[in-house]
Amino acid sequence: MIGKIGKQSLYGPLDDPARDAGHAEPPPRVGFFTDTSVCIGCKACEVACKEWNNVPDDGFDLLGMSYDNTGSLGANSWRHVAFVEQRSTSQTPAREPVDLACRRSNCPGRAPVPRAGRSSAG
Amino acid sequence: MGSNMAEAHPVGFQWVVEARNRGARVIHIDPRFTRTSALADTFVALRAGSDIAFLGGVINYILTHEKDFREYVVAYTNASFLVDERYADTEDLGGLFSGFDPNTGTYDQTTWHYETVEPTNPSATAASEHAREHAASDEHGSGGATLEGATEGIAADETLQHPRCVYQILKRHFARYTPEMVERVCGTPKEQFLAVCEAWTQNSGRERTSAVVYSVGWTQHSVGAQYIRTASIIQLLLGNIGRPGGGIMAMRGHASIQGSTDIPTLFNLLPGYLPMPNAASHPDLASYIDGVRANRQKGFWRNADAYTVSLLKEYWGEAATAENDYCFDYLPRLTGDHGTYRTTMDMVDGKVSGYFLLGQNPAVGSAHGRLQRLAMANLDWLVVRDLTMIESATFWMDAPEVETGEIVPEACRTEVFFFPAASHVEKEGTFTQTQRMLQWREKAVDPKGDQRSELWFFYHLGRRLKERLADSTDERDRPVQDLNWTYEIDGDPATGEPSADSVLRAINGYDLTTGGPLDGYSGLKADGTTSCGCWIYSGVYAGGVNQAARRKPGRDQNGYALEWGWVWPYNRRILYNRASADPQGRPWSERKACVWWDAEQGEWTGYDVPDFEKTKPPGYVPPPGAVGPDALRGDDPFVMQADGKGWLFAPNGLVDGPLPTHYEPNESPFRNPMYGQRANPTAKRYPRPDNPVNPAPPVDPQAAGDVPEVFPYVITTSRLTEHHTAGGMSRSLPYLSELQPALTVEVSPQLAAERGLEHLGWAHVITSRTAVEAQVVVTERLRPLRVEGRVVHQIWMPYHWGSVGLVTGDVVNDLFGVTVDPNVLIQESKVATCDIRPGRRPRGEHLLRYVEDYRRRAEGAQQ
Repeated sequence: MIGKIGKQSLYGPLDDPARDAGHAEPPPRVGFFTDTSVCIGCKACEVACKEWNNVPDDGFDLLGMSYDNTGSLGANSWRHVAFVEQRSTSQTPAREPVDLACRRSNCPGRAPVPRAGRSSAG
Repeated sequence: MGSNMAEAHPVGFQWVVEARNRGARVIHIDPRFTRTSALADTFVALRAGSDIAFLGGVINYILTHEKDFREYVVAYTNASFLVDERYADTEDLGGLFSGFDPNTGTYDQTTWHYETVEPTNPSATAASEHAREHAASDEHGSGGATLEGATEGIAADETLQHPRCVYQILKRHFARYTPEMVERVCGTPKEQFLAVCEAWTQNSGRERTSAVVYSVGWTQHSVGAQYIRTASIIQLLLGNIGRPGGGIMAMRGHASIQGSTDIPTLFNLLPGYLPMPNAASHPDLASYIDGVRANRQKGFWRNADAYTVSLLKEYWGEAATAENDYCFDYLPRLTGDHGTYRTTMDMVDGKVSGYFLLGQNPAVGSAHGRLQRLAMANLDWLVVRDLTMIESATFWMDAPEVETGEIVPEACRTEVFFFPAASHVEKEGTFTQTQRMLQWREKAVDPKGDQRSELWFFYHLGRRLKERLADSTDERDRPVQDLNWTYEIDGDPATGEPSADSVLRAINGYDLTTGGPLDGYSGLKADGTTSCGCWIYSGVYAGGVNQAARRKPGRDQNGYALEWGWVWPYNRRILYNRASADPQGRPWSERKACVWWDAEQGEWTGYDVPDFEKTKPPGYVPPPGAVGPDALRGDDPFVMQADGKGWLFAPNGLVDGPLPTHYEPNESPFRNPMYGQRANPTAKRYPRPDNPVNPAPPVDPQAAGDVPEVFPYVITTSRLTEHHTAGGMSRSLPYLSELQPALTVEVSPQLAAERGLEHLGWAHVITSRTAVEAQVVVTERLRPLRVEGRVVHQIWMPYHWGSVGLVTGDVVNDLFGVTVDPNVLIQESKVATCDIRPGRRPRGEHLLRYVEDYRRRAEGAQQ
């Protein structure tokens, strides 16, 4: 087990998380391309993730946190587009960092791969 | 401007972001900070309903500093043309143009004409009450207004000095739109406004171009058409029309709305923007054609006879002959305003017995939802075709009016027929997007159960009607009996799916002498030897190939991607692109080259398909007596216009004035800071007890009620990216519903303090129509503005909610009344006045009394 500590830390590259988690013959890993430089915060990626993985909705709760009603990652929310509203004189307040729950999950469709160009979700 | 493109058109907005990543500057001008603003370089806030003041200020800046693209302006616009000496401007008449009749609220447009052109305005000769009852497009169609005599040369001063030339009139008209006035009217600080002017003018000219994007936010105003006109004037002055990277992009309401105006679902248009005939003025085909176009005018619109006859041949096939006017008499005629809202009121009044709703949810999506529901509750029958049981199918049992006792489910007389519709992945066909591009769509899966395509529904409905009427001897059934209703059917003729491909071929048109497909509209004839379902779409099946289905990847062709889909007309990607070259036919600059004249080959060529007669040289001067396309000079780029020029000044065609003028919204907390005339004098209002209006401030600034106390705030609405219009396609889906689960109302922290509103607490918004409740979101995305020396608060709400679905809420469009733009009869639902109070709204009959009390107090305060 000692040898696994480095591999299962919460940062750094993950070479083969599905096998690490005990799956004998997992399907090939596929990526979720996210280009935050063109992201408008439409959350289509959250929907695509749920559609692909057949994850149920997480309840209809208004959170009052900007456009964000997902709130946080959880059992039924594996992607989360957060909105950070900033006051700024240059008037560029919103940024949308994308959180993912799947970095360590058994999901085969996981692992953000930063890439130039549009995201696969359009 | 007037667009939240990132949220409402996210797929298109990716290209804006890409352009920005490559150095383009994005400026977002809007009442509220949105996800579009977040990705713009500059956000500029303005008061909802003040856009003409802002854009008029830009025009004034351009003209004052002579920043216009002079060579372009002189050669390609009507800047040099002289206007009738009887013309009087808003500068002379306190906000009105010459020809206004206060009794009818209409203009006699005779004095707006060019000096040497004969007036052809119908309202100049007919009773102006007639004009009152029509939208401008009934009269003019896509070619715009007619100009009898435009071929004979129009008196002009190319030095632009003559006091009556369009350029000087423009200068005078916009002289008072100073940066100080913009600040006073729009609430936009002068420095910020000037920064926009500088950015826009610096990024225009030979080497650079700028584009304007607008959406529904611009159209839903009592002066909506003039908003777009103002932007057009700027883009023409700066040389940004007909050139790559320029133009004015209209983001449509949803997929293929462009298609549904090209082949219209509008009461006043036939396919290809041909006007619907009028009962009084079009007794036969000849009089109709004469009304559509003048004889001695330039351009392709002059051939409207060929387009019309070919359409009639498509409708009635062999039954349409020269002897019977090609069955012109079979077409229905307009007898007045038959627009959506007039029809709704006629339903309330018991004049309409049946109604079809196809992909439309007026109980939520149309202005004055309450009026819509009461109207639908007074029908004999209602057909609803949609994906789910929308509010317009269930209003009789769950409308807010059931709670107030105004609709009693047991007594509601309307019989509702609900037909489940196939979705876009369950049928084939084309979408036409905002660039006028037709893209063919394959069917991915078969529709389930009883779900059927619109094509199936209408084909079989028509087939059954024809069968039912086959033996009729009643003359009125002839149009149905003779209808050309022959499409290929997949499978059983009685139940099979009609071939969308065969419909597209009929739209493209046939040469009836050979039976082959036409290659484009220049092949259409007025002698009955061609048929064509929509003349501007002719060519979509050129060479017998479905051009809309072409999908050559972008990397295998130039940036115009001419082999991806098909764009009307003639696959031209940039309309009027002759203007991308100078009068001699050379690109204005290498950087902005698009099409040009190749002297060696003797033809126009370039990256795009030239929007010009291919072999007409730049220096061409037509012979005397030429008409139509033959009368176009080699440097007349605006080939559809009656004079071949871009119109800075509209000498005919707009019913509310030849130039845009800032009028206050029909409901505004302010008098007009610019003119004595407060609101659009020609706006169509429907004064009746069920369409109440929040009162305007008194004309006298000293009078009581100058600062409105009952309805002090401005409300505007728009969309969230997570939901789709009236919600029928999104509130039924859990993944979308959870992303925006509740109706909210956004207010600034200052307004929240003023009215005691708490973040996530309840509040209700009140107008003369009703009150709706929502949860409060306090956000700095909305900022109070300083207008006319005092602070004005703006409130924003999304309009996606209704009574059915996974997430429900009050109908925001219930807040708006019905006042419409006189040119196009679109309602003013992007701005109104209101009040907001903490807590939930009263229920049941208490709601009616509560709103009535508001109305009484508002009227009392103004007296």
